[in-house]
Order: sequence, then structure tokens, then C-alpha cells
Amino acid sequence: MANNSTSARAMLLVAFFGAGALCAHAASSCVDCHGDPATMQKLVAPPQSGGAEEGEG
Amino acid sequence: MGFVVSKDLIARDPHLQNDCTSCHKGNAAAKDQKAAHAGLIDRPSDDPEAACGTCHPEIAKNYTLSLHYTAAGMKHGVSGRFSEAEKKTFDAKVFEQSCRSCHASCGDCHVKSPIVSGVNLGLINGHQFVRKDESKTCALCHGGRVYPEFTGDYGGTPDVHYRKGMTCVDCHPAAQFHGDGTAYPDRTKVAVKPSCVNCHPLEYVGKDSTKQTHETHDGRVSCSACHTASSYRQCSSCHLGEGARSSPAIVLGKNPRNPKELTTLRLIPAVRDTFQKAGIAQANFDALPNYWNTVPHNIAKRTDRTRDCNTCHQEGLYYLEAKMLPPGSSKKNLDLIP
Repeated sequence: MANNSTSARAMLLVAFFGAGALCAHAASSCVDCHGDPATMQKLVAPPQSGGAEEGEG
Repeated sequence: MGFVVSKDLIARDPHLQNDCTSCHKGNAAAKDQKAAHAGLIDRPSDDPEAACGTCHPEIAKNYTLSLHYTAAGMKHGVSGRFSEAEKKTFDAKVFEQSCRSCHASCGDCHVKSPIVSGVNLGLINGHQFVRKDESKTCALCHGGRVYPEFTGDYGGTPDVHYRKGMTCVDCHPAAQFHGDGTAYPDRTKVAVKPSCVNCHPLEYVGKDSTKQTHETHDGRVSCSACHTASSYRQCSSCHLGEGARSSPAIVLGKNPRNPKELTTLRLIPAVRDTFQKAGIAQANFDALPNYWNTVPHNIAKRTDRTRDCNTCHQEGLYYLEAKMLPPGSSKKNLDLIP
């Protein structure tokens, strides 16, 4: 019984802090798209080949 | 490289502890792309003091006066060819729109690669704020000449410092990139510049014969004139928006900034109609040469000039000659022939 109680407390703690971490990340939804490779691959076009200009030197 | 923000970094990089919108603005609560990007600031550190200055005030303030930010070197490099009226036209039509559009933001060196010729390689490492990563930052803007000379990627001999494991910042410390709070007109005027003798003072160089050679040439021949390992890129024929052609060569001539010194020269791609599209005829085109003193970044201890005096003193192998001058180039070039 004691073990069950400890486990339950541990699960509560994990749930509490885990949710906090999720909330912190969810504060910005930008990374939902900008952190997702599949989404960004659809959104970002491959670079155009360069013009005749060169670097400054 | 790439465009994907690493979610793992959010917990690790202190710069990412604030919400994305604290720098980029926009609307993080919006559910569609258009609304989320309303008011977006793509390059927040284009305004260094507003973006980075809250935590790094001194660096950000200095940086707004640095040559990487002001691009003043480009402006002063060509203005000597202009009449007073042409200077005004240049300021109004060319400088901000063309030259200064290449200025580097803080993020161009610490977050993402700078965009060169429309090619955007994206984030250096998932939007991590990196201290330095020369091959993905310096090399992008300085990849036409300096960096590939340094690494040997251009086809010549790699720089001895590169082969020993040194990188850009070993000679060009951060203060040079960030500026020192003075708005210099060009890089030649910067107070603290790299110098060979900082690490190789003449009194400590080599055996007696080597010391004698250095003492004989000191003040009359630059270090690079003898220690440039192999051909470096010469550029020509630059037209507004149409680019330049290049060819490799070692060119030795009088330093236009110090005619008493023989040094390595680089052909700079300005021609008479460079600014024709902007209505600038360059009234004083012949006031400045097309060749300027340069320090090629492919230095070696031993070269054909250090091994054999005759390379210069008998053959004059790399000396600038009138027949080498591009057709129609500045008459001032003739002053640089040894």
C-alpha cells in the first residue's frame, strides 16, 4: 500500500512538473511549425542558384 | 545548416528562454501562417541595440558603428571617383539599396549564415546562438577571395596559419568585428588591425641571414610581397548588378597608400560604367587606381621569392607592367608600376 501511495505521489509530481514544462514550451506556438522538419520542408523553397556577384572578399 | 528550429535548444540556450515574439514579434497565438506572421521582424538584430543591446549594451552600441554594420568602407572606396553631385546621387540611389544591403546583422554571424547572392543557407545550428563558426559565417561574405585563399579551396596553397589550425578570429579578434565605438571610414583606418609582427617581431625571426634580409626590406617591401604562397584572385569588370570576372595572379607593385613600399596588389572590379545604370559617370574615375594593396590570405614561410633573390631582383617575375593593365582602366594605375 505504501508503495502504491509513493507511486501515486510520484505520478502526481511528474504530471505537475511535466505539464509546467509543456506550458512553457506552448507559450510560443512558433516552434510548432518552425521546429517541425516536415512542415519547414514544405514551406522553404530550395535556394536559387547564385547570380554573378561574388563575396566581398 | 537548415531552417528548422531545434526544440531541444529551447531548454538549453539562454537566448531562447524568452518567447520567439520577444525578438521576432508577430503573433504566437495565431492559428494560421498569415496571422502568425503579421508584423514579423525577420532579422531582429538589424537593429542591434533593440534586439541584442538589452543584454549586451556595449557590444551592440559599438557594433552600430563598426564597418560590418555601416559598410562605410564600400562608400569611401568609391567616392573618390565621384563629383560632389555624383556623391549625392550615390547616397540616394546606390549605397543603401546596393552596398549597405550587405551589412551584417548580429544574427548573420551568431545565428544564421548571411544571405549572399540570394542564396540562404539558413540557421547555423537550429537557431542556437553560437559564439563563432567561421566556415558558415565569415566564409559566406568573404568567400569570393579571402576564405578560399586561406583554406586552399580556391586551388592554391593553403595559408600556413590555416594548416596550423588557426581560424579567422585568431588574427581578427572579436573587437574588430564588433567595433571599438569609433565609426571608421574604412578598414585601413581601424585602430587595432592584425599585423604579422604582432606574433613575428623582426628581432626574433630566424637566423642571422634571415634577420639581415628582413632588415634590408623592412619599410620598403611588405611581408605579403615575399610570403604570399601562390596566385590569388584578381577581379575585374564589375558592373552594377552584373558581377565580376576573376583570374588568378600574384601582382607586385607600389602600394597606392604608401608608394615607397612594394606590395601585393589586387585588381578591384570597378570600371568606368560600373554605376552607369544609376546615372553616375564617375567624373573623377582616373583619380583612383584599380589596383589596391592587399594581404592575400595564403601566406607561406618559403616561396619562390624567399628562396631566390633573382625572382624579383633579376626577373621581376610578378611586377605590374603597363601591358597587364585592363583596357580602359584608370590612368592612376600607371603610378603603381615599380
